[in-house]
Amino acid sequence: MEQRDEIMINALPSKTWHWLRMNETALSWKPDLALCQTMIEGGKPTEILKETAQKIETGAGSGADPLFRESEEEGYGILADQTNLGETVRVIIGNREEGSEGSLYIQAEKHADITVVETFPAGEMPAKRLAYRTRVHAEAESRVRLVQVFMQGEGTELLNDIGCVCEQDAHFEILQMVIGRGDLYNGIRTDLKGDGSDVQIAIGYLGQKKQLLDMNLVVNHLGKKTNSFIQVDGTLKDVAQKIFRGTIDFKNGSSESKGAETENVLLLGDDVVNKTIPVILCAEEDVEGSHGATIGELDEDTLFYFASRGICAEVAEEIMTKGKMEVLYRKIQDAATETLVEQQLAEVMEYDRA
Amino acid sequence: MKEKTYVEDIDRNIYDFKDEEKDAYKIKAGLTPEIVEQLSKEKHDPAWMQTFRLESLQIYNNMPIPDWGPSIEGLNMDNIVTYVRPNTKMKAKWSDIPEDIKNTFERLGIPQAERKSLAGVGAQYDSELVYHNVRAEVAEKGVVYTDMESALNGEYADMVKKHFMKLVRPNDHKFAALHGAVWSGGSFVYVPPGVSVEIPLQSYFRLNAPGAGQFEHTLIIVDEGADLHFIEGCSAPKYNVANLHAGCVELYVGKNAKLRYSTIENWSKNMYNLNTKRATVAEGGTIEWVSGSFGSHVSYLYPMSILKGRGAKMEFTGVTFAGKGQNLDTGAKVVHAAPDTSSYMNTRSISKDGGISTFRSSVVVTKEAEQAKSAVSCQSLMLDSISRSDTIPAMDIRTRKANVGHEAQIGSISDDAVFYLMSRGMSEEDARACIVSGFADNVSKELPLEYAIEMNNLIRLEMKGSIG
Repeated sequence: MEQRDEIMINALPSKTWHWLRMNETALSWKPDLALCQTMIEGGKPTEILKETAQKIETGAGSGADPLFRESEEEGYGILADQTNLGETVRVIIGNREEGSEGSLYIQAEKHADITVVETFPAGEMPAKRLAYRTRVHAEAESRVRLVQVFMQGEGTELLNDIGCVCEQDAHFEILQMVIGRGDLYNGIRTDLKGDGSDVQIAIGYLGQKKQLLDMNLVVNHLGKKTNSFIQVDGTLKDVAQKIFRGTIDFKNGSSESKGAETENVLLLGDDVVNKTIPVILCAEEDVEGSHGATIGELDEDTLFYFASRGICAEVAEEIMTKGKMEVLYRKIQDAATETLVEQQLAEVMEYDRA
Repeated sequence: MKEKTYVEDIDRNIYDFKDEEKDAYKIKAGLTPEIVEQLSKEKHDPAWMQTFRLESLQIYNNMPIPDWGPSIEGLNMDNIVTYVRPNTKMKAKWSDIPEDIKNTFERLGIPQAERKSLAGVGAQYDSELVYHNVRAEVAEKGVVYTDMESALNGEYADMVKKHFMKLVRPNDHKFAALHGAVWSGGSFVYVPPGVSVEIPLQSYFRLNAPGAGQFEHTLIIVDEGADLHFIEGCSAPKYNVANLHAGCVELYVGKNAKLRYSTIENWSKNMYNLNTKRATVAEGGTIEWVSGSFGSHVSYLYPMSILKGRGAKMEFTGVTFAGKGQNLDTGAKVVHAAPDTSSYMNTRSISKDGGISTFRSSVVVTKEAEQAKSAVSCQSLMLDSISRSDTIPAMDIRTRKANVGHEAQIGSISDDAVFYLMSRGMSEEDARACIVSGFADNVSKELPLEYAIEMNNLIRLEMKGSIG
């Protein structure tokens, strides 16, 4: 029998009642994963400064460290500096074995500006399990955009783990399109260490069939005048399950900071499970934190609007699902990736009808 | 230099007075099967209750301490006296109560409130009720309002047995188990079908003994089409040893019935308040919780509503004020287990002077709860940077045919709001005082006038200092 170790990932920084089963997620993964295939187009390779990289904590947490043993030694590094301002680097993460893992370190020097597009295609020989970790160090006044497109195949599991530290006035942006057919464990942690730094996270997802989406987003406001904005929009169908943990943590000293998170979930399946826990932790007086969530099916007014134009409820739901995703993928700002997402979205929506 | 606006602590002097201990009986400190058996014997429990207590103790010993809330390291059960019987039996006239105890309740304003605005009063002193009375016209309608011990051993024994800790079971959490083992005192209320109790009933719990625990049990059954407002108040003098409150409230709201349960909790700052409250609501019924949490060193308090019948409703309105040395973890839980149910939580919390307030909630919508609607709104006000304010709301939705919304805000006093009020002639100091006072309005406007005034007195949001 295969020996499996249980690891705990995506832990809430502040626990709540255990009976809700939201505090963390247990994964029964075999830790000795092989290195995955990584194709990098563009970018300047750099040697990873382990001391710097390993200090960057991630959303999945240190519980996931055993999964990244190989790539901690042999991961890839990309440097953004004055010589490649505005460059878009494309990274395709492929599968090799039953279980694979990999990691990427993005070092953005002062005033650098880089976009990294990471794509996780379904592949011809999909690994059952893939763990991938992206660490970002955004130095002062740099700008890093990370676009991730998840298209993994049915029956697969993907652990996507991100950690970022932003120095003074650095800007970090994440855009994730979750349009695969497999399960996704998604951890994102950003430490807004420098004054005036900010992070914007936008996630669009379509969960259907038996898919599981397990997210843990943590933003730590450490510096003054830091800003965070989290927006998560998605649709759940069939018997899909989703848990969204979102934490905005205003640490003492983060005065004049602002943090906001919004989540909109369209429920279209009779047996879906939607769990949401949007947390604000606050140890500073002069801050503004807010969160809002709306969860449910299409309201009667919207359905009436569509019906008055001869569109039935089923088509209306499809239009709204696609519309939510389209608003996000139009922000990718990379024509090739946008086309890829558009095609994949059409495919998975077709797959849903199959 | 700008001097910070200062918000006063809650003035606790009106509650912080002690009576000399003249207890008739005090069980020895600690928690063992022998102590529980002794307690049961002292209370003349029926056999099933003694067994229940011992089973609960076993559950208590096997359950872990919660690892998700405020620390309760300072609470050592070996030092807690679980049963203190005052030097009097329960009376129906204040004049029959020993002078010192009567004076205590008079200083708390209970007899006066009874005369003016209550349909009945129960007053508990340490582990037992010392006073219980209900107006004749209310009793004539068939309303039963008595102490738990009388109900347990009297004509309502079967009803008590049928409902006692069936809603909050001892294996629910460690302190529910503790309650099951050592409960004492509390009230039993039964409102017959169709009866509307037009003025509220009140139970007041006073803990006088240092190092003691209070474990009162409140069981209320509001039958079909009936209507009741029940008010619960509690306080204690401050000691330099830990006191413990682990009460339990079980509310059964019948078909198309309505129950409002209001609490002004003002324990002293050496109190660990680990209380459990739960309601089950039948078809078309309504439960309304109004909750003010001001006292305690540590609080774990989350009234839970189970909306079991079609169209059942729940409303929770709460305010929490955490000052120096306080860690108040409060909120509410709701389970939508039937179609067309609705819930609304509206809470405010204020943190100052190193106080920690946490709003914690859960909204569970089961697959059966089609067309359920739920809205949660929580707002927190931070008055300085040595305090903390956290919001931890959870939602678990298992039907597509639900409509769930949530909003939360944390912040300081808005400069825009201050500017607005100043533009209408207020001084900055008055404007800030007005905003902070108004922040708790959600609760005070839900209370009967007398209690709203008491609450406002309690908060005493006095603003001082020049504005720079």
